[in-house]
Amino acid sequence: MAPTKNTNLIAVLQRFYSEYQQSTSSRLKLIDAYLFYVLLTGIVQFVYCCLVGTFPFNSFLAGFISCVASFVLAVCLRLQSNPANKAEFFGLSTQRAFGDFIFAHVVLHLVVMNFIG
Amino acid sequence: MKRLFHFLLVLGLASIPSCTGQASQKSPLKEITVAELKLRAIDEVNAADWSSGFESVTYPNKASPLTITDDQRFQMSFAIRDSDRVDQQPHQVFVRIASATKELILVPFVDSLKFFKLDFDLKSKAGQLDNASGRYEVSLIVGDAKVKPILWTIANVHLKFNGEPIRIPDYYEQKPEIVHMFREPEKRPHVFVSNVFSLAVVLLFVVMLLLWTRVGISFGNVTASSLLFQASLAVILYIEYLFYLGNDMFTTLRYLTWAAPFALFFGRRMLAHLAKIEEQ
Repeated sequence: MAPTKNTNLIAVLQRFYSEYQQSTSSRLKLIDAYLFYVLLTGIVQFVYCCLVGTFPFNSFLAGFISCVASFVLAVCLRLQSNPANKAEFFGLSTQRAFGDFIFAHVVLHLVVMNFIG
Repeated sequence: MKRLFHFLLVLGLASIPSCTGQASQKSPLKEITVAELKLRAIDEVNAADWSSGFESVTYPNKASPLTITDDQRFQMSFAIRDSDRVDQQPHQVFVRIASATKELILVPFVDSLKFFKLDFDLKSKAGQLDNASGRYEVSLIVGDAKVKPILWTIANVHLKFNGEPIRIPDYYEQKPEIVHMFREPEKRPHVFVSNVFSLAVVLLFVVMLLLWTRVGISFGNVTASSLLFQASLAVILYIEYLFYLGNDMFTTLRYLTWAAPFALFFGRRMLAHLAKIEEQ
């Protein structure tokens, strides 16, 4: 029973991966890689906080919140630049979305620098 | 309390002539004098016998210095008479025992022969004098509406208390310095641990770069405006880094105001260029 389930899962994942590789545009893949990076960075910070403690708490918050916010911004960028959502964001070009993304990041990092102490 | 009492007393004494200024036209203030004043320091055992051991003092002279220990009694006997040598009993007759910092007001009693007598057990008032041994002044205060007041310093006495002097907290004494306790920084992790985690974050960035190269980054679209845009963005981030290092918000915002238009201009050009490519 269990092996079939496992093979099923593996098969599903393989299928998912190949589908992803084929159907996703490279632009979205770039964003996905970035999302993956941001997610893992956030996790690493969280693990560090769990292991060592939150001593400079503002620094931890600044780092972690910057990760979360970057993730959210990147997801927004991904949504807006996904051709599948063209109807949703009518009149919003990918370039415009990227410009917004950059601007939001500039503001975000100013806040993060303010917070990091 | 004692001081207040004394103050009121002196005030009362001082105001007697003026209070009775109109009355004095009718009957002038009587001249009085203290007569047959004698005093002694005597042991408890012999205190009941008032017949001997006294030193006589004539008003307004001063008696020879006296030492009184706290197992002794200080006894005093005197009469107050007017110029016709008639015994008087003014309303206010007090014996004041005082040093520079301590003060004790005692009230003598009047015996059947109209003699004022003071029988002062030093031990009983040790607490009021805070057990402070040292030089005291014994003075007699006599006041009344009808007589001329007297303030006579009779003798200097040396009081000796056996007990430890009670230290009175000095109101103006320097208080212990208040040292502010800053919150102690918590224990920092070992440098190694921090480095490992820093390395992990940097590695993640490298992993992302690797993923990007796998996905395929093309540098085909690099133009002058995109390079300038990158540069201005780098400048903005550097300004924010300076903010982290210690610039204040105003300076940072001023710098950003200079840097932002460049980023805006070149960013717009770059993105417009990209959009144009995409359209084609």
